[in-house]
Amino acid sequence: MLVLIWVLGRPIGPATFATGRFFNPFEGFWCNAAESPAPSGQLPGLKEPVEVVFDERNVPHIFARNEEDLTYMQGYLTARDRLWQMEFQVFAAGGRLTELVGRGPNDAVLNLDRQARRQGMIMGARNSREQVMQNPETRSVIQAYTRGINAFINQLDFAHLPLEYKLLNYQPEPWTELKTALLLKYMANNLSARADDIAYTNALSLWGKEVFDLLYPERPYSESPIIPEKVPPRFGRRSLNLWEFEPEPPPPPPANYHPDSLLLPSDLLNQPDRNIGSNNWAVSGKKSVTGKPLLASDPHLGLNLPSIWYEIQLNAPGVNVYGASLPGAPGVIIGFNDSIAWGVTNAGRDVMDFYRITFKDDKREEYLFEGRWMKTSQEIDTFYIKGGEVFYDTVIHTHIGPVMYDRNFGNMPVPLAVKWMAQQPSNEALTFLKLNRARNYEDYVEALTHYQCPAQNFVFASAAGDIAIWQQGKFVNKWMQQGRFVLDGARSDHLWNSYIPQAHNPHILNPERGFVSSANQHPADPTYPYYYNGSFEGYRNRRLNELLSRDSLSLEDMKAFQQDNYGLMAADVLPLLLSELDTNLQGVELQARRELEGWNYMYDADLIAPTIYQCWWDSLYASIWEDEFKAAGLPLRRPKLSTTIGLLRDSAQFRFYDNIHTPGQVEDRKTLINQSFRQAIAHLSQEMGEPQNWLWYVYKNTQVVHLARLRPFSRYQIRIGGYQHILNATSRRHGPSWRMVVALGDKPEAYGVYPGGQTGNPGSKAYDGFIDNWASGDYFKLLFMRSPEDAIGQDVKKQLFSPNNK
Amino acid sequence: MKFLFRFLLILILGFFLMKVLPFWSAALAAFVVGLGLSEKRKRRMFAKKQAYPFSFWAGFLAMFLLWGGMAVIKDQQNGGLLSAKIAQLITRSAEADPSGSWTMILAAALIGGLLGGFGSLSGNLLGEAIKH
Repeated sequence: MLVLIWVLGRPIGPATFATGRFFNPFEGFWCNAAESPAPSGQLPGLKEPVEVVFDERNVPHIFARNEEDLTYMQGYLTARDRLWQMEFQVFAAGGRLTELVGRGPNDAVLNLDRQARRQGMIMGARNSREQVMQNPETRSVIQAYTRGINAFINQLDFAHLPLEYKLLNYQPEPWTELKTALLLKYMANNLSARADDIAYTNALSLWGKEVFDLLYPERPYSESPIIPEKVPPRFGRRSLNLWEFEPEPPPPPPANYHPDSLLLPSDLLNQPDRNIGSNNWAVSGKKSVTGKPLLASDPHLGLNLPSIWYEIQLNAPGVNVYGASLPGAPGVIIGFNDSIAWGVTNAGRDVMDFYRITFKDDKREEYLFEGRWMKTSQEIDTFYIKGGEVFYDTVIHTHIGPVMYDRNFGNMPVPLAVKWMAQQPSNEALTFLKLNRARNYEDYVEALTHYQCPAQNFVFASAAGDIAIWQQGKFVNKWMQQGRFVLDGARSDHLWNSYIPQAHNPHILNPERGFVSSANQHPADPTYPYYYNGSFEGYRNRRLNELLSRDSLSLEDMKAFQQDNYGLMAADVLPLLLSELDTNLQGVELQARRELEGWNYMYDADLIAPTIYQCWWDSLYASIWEDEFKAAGLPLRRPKLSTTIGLLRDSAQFRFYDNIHTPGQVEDRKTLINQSFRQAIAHLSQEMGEPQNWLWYVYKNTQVVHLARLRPFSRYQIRIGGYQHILNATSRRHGPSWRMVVALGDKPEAYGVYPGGQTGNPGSKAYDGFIDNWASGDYFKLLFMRSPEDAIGQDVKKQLFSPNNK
Repeated sequence: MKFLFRFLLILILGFFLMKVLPFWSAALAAFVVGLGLSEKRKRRMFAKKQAYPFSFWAGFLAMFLLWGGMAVIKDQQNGGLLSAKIAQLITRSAEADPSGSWTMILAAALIGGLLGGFGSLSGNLLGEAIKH
C-alpha cells in the first residue's frame, strides 16, 4: 500500500503532475470543471464595501468608493480569472521559465531565459519599480493591486488552483510590485526589443554600401506617414522648418565614422515576431454621421490563450473607465471613459543598440573607453531548472549596458553590450492611470509626458470634439544612421548623449483632413528634423488612409475597416507577376492563373485566389533571397516585402535573382516568376489536393495557442480572412488581439471583441468563448455603466465585497 | 452482509476523510476499516485464502465507486469538456475525442479502487498480525 501511495504521489515526469493528486476527484483536475468559484463576500484589506456587477460575458464592472479599493478589486478579480497566465508571463519576462518546464529541447527554454536576463529585463523592471514607488499616486495603486492579487492567492487551496499549476505541478508565488513592473517589460520586449544592428552590420560587411542601400532603404517606395506630409512652401528657403517647434540641433556625427566591418555569426538571435503591429484611428465629428468623433483601435499581437487582454470597467469617485486591461498591470490600457477614448499602436522605432566591447584581456575585468581602461562588474545569474541541476550564467556589465552576446552566449566572437530604452527607469503606469481619468486633450497630453517605452502611437478622441495622435516614447537624438549598425563601445560619441524633447515627438491635433490614424508606418515625412530608424509597415497605412478619406463615416464603417481584407501588396505586384507569366499554361496551372486574373485582391476566408497568390509570392520571395542569405550562414535580415516589390518592378535583371546553386545559368525576373509559380501550384496540389480545397483559411491556419503550447487548450484553423500587411492583420499566429470601436457623445457607445474569453480556465466553456464571434466579425456591445443600477433589465450577477479586517 | 457493511463503512469514512485530506486518505480510510474489522486468523487454511480477496474487493469497490462517482459528478458540470481535453493531453492525440472523458473517469476510479483495495488489505493484514 505504501509503495502504491509513493508511486501515485510522485510526479511522472520532470514537469508534470503526480497521478494520485491530479486524478483525485476531490481536489485534482476534476475540480477545474466547475465554473469559477463564487467570490467570497469578505476580503481582508478592503477599506469600504465594493459592488461588482458581472455582465453576461463575465466582464466585471467594479464600483468602489475609493481608488485603492478599486485597484485592489481589479487585482483580486483578474487573479481569479487569470492567475496562472499573469504569473507565467512574468516568469517569461524575468527569465524563469526553466523553473517550470526545464531546459527545453536543445536548451531552447534555457536560452530564452538567459536572453531575457542578459537583455536587462530584471534590471529594467527594478529601475521602473523604483520610479513607480517614488510617485505617491502610482505607489498606492500598485500596492493595492498587489494586495488584491495576494488576497486571492491566499484563499487558494489545491482544489481551486488553476489547472496549469496542477498539470505542471507547482504553486503560485506571492505577487509583488516588481512583478507588475516585469509584466510591463514583457510588453516592452514584445514591442520594442527589435534591433537589426547585428544583421545590418553583417549585410554591410558582406555586400558593401551600394547593395546594402538597395536592400535596406530607410523609406519605402510609397507611404502615407502618421503626420500628413508637409507641403514645402513654393517660395522661400527650402530648408525652412515646417514643424511648429524649434528643433534641437542633431549631435555632430563622429569624425571619420564608418560602420564596423564585422562578420557576426550567432546561432541565437531570437527576436519578437515582426507581424506584431496594430491599427488605430479617430474620425472627427465633421466626417462622422453622429457629428461627434469616432475612435477605433485594434492591437495585433501574438494570438494566445488565455488572451493577453482582460475586459473590465473601473468606477470610483473621479474615474469611470471601460476597456482592455493587461492581466498583471492596474488600470485600463486601451479604452474609453465619459469624456475621451484612446488606443495604441506600436511606434516601431529603434530603441535598442548594440556596442562592441574591447576587453583588455581574457579575464574581462577591464574594457576600453575613450583611451582608458574601465572596470567591469560581473553578475552571476542563477537558473533553477525543473528536473535538473542549477545553471549559472556570468554576465558582464559595462556602463553602457550588460554584455548580451559573447563567447558564452550566442557564440559571438565579438562581445556586444546592449543598451535598450526599457532598461531605463520609467513610470508607464502613471500614464495609464492618468489616461483613465483624462477629461480632455490637455489631460491626455499631460498623461503622455510620463511615458517612455515601448513607444506607441496614442490616438485620442474626446466628446468635446477633439481628435489627436501623438507618437510617444523616449527617443535618442541621434546622428544620421546612429544605431543602424553595431556601435563602438570605446567611443563616447557613439553613446546616447541627448534625447529628443518630448514636445517634439510627432503629433497632430484636429488635422484638416478630418481624421488621424496610424498603422505602424513612418511617423513623419523626411522633413521631420530628427533622425530615426526602425521597422515600419508600408501597406496598411495606405489602405487605411484611403478608406478614411471617405465622408459620412459610421461605427459600422469603423468595424468594416478593422475587418477590411483588401491586399494592397497583392494589388501592387500581382499585375506584374501575371504579365511575366507564360501564356501557354495548361490544366491546374491554367485554372490557377484564371483564378488570379479574376481576383479582387480580397483575402476572404473561403477564397482560393489568396492561397494561390500567397504561395506563389512566398516561393518567389524565397527564390530571390534564400540562396544568397542561407549560404552566408550569418544572422541577416531578409529585405522587406515592399523593398522586394520595388526591386522587382524596377529591374528585370538583378544579381540576387540569379540562383547561386545553378552554375553556368543566370536567372532573371521572368525565370523566377515562372519557376516559383509552377513550384507553388505543385506544392498546393500535393498538400491540399484539388484546387477547390485550397481555401485561404485552411491554408493560412490561423491559430490561438495556449501559452504553454498545450494543444488541447488551443484552437487551430480558425475560419477567418486577412493576413499580414492587410488591415485585418490576421496571420497564422498573430492578429487583432482586441478590436474596439467607440462613438463619443453624451454617453459613449462602444463595441469590442477579442479572441479568447474572460476566464483563463481551459475547463470552462467560456475559455475560448469569444473566438467564433471574433472570427466571424461580430462585436459585443460594451456595457458602459454609470452606477450599479444601470444594469437593471440586463442578464447580470451582482456581488458585494466588504472589508474583513479581523 | 459482512461485505456490504465493510464496503459501506469504507465508502462513508472515505468520503469524509477525502474532503479534508489528500488522495492517500482513500487508502487510509480503507486501512482503518480493514484494521478495525480484521478477524483473528481462522484455523482452517481455506478461510484465510478467502479473507484477503474479501477485504481487498470491499476496499476496491468502495473507492472505485467513490472516485468514479465523484468524477462523474464533477465532469457533468461542463459536459465532459475538460476531461476530454485532459485525455487528449495525456494521449498526445491531435484531435479531442469525447470518449476520452470516460477513459479519464475509469482511470480515476481505478486509481481510487487500487488505493482502497490495497489499503483495506494492508489494514486487514496488520490487524491479523497484531491479534495473532
